[in-house]
Amino acid sequence: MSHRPAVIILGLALLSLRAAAAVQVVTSTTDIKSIAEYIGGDRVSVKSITTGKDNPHFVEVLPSYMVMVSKAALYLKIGLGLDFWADPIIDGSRNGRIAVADCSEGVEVLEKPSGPVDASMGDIHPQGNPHYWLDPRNGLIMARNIKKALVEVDPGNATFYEANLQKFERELETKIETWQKAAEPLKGLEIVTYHNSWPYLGRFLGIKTVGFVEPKPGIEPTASHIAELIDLMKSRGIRIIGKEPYFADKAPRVIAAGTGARVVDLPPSVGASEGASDYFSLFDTLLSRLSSVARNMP
Amino acid sequence: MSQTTVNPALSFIGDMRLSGFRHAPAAVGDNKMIFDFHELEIAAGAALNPYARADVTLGISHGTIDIEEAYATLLRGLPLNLQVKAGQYRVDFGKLNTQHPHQWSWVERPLMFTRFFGEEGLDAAGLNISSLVSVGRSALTLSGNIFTGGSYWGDSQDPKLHNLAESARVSLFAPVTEHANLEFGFSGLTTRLGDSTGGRTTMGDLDFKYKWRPDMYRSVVFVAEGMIGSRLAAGGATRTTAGGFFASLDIQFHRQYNVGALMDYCRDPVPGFGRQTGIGVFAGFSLVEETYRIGLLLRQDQGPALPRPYQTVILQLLWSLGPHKPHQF
Repeated sequence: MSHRPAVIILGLALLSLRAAAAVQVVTSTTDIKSIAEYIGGDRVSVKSITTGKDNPHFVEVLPSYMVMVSKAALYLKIGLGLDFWADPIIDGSRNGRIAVADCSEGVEVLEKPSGPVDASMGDIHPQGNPHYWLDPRNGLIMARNIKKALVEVDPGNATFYEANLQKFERELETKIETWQKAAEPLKGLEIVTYHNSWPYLGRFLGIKTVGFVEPKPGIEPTASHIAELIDLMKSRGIRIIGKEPYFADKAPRVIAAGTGARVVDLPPSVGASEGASDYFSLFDTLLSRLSSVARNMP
Repeated sequence: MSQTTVNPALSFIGDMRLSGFRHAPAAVGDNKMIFDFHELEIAAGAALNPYARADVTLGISHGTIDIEEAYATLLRGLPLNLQVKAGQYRVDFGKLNTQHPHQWSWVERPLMFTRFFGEEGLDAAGLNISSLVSVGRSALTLSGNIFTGGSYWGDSQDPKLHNLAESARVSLFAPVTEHANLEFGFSGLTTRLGDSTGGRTTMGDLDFKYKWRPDMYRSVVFVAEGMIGSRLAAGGATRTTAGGFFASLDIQFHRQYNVGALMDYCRDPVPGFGRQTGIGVFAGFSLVEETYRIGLLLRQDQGPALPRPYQTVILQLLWSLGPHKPHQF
C-alpha cells in the first residue's frame, strides 16, 4: 500500500502551519510592542521585556528574558543607551538568527551633549535624551523602522506590513492634529517633573519643564534641592508636578505641600497606568491628565 | 573598522576597607584597625565579531596582579542553543562561585569557597559548554566544564597536583510572580590527583536564590548554598569528607539602603582545622546604583581551631568607574 497521499497531505499541512506561524518579535518596551502589533497584525507575536510600570533605565538580566529572545526572529530596541541591558539578554539567548533593529534611527534627538560627558552629571545619556517615543511624531519614524525590520525578517508579508504602516500613519497623523488642537490651552504651561523624561512631549504640546525633583538624572532628591525647587516654583507660579509612576511620591508630596501644586501621575509608557493600553491611548491619557489638572489649577 | 569601534568597555572597581579585629588568630593580629586597599579590579569586555565576545578581569591586590578571568565566548550560531567559553574563568560550581565579591552585600567570600578552593574561589583554565532550554516560562541551564589549574581541598594551586577536573551544573530559573523569581542549582565536580595513585576528589553543591523586587525602592534577596565533598587519598587508603553552608538575607528598604544577615559554616577539608561557624549582620548605602557603595559588616566566627570567638568589623568603600554592567540574576 502506498503512503504517498498521506505524505503529501502531511507535507502540505506542515507547509501551511509554517506559513501561518507568526513572526516572533521581542521589544524592549511596551511602546514599541504596541506599534509592532499594529504594523504586524496577526502575522506577528510580540512580547515586551518591560511592562510599562518598570523603570526602563534599570532592568535585571533574567534567564527567562533570554529564553523569550531565544525563540525570536526580531528584537526591537529603543536605543540611545536607554536599553543597554538588552545586549546581555540578546547575547545570553544564544540566538544566532535574530535580527536586531534600533527604533531610534532617524529620530531628531534632543539634549545631545555637546561636550564631554561623565558621571558627575548624573545618569546622563551621552547620545541624547532617549525618551523620544513621547512625541507621537516620532511614533511615525518608529513605525517605519519597525516595518522595515519586519520586512527584512519576513519579506513574504511585505505588502501586508506596508498596508498596515500606511493605515497607522493616517490614523496617527489624524490623532496628532486632534491632540495638538486639544493642547492649545496648555501652550506655554510651565511644569516640574520628577525625571527628565518629558522633553519630547513638552516640545509636542508646547509645555516647558523648568525643573526636576531629581537634582541630576538618576540622583535621589536632597533637602536642599527640594528647598530650591520650592522657591523656583513659587517664584514662577508653577502648579503642576509630573511624576512617573515608578518613582516614590514622598518628595513630590513635600514639594506640593510647600507650593500648593498638584502631583499628577504621568504614564511614560503604554501599560504604565490605566487607560494607556496602546500607543494612541497613551497620549489620550497624558493629555487628559495634564488638561484636567491645568483646568483646575488654583 | 575604525579603532574606536573596537575599543572594549573598560571598568575599574576599587575595594577599600577599614577593618578591625578582636580575638583574631595570630596571623591576622589582634585588637588592631587597618586600612586595606583590598583590591582593584579592572574589567574589559567587547564583541570580537557578531558571534563572539571576550572578557578580561584583572585583580590587583597588595601589589600582586592576578588574571581572575580572561576568556572568549562563542555566543551564538552553534547548534542546540549551545554557548562555548574558553580561557581562565570562574567555574560555575555553585552559584556564588561565579560571582565577583563586589556583587555581594556581605563583603567576604563564604568560608567554604576559600577553604576548599583558595582565596579567589574556584578560578581555573578550561572549557565550558552550556545550553539554555525553555521550560514554559522558566529557563533550564545545563553547563559542563573541563578544566585544570584550580585548587581543591585546600591544596596548593599547582596545576601538576591534579589531573583535569570535570564539573557540571544544572539550574532552573523560574518566575514566581511578576516581581519575584527563584533559581535552584545543582553542581557536581570530580578530579583525580595527579600522582597516579588513584586519589580522587568528588564534590557536590546545591544552591538556591529567591528575589522579590516589586519596585526600585524595595527588594528581598535570600540565597543559600551548601557544599559537600569527599577525598579518597592517594593509594585509596583513607577517605575524608568535609563541607560547608552559606545563607544570606538581604533587605533593601529604600532606594539607597539595605540591611541583612548571614550565616557561614565550614567543616574544613584540611585536617586539624575542624569546623568554623560565622554569623554576621551587614548594612549598605549606595547613592546611585552601581557607582559606589559604603558597606558595613559585623561578624563573629567561632570553632575549635579558634581559641575564642573572633570578631571582625569591616567598613568597605566600593566604587565602580566605567560603563554600567547589569549583573545577571
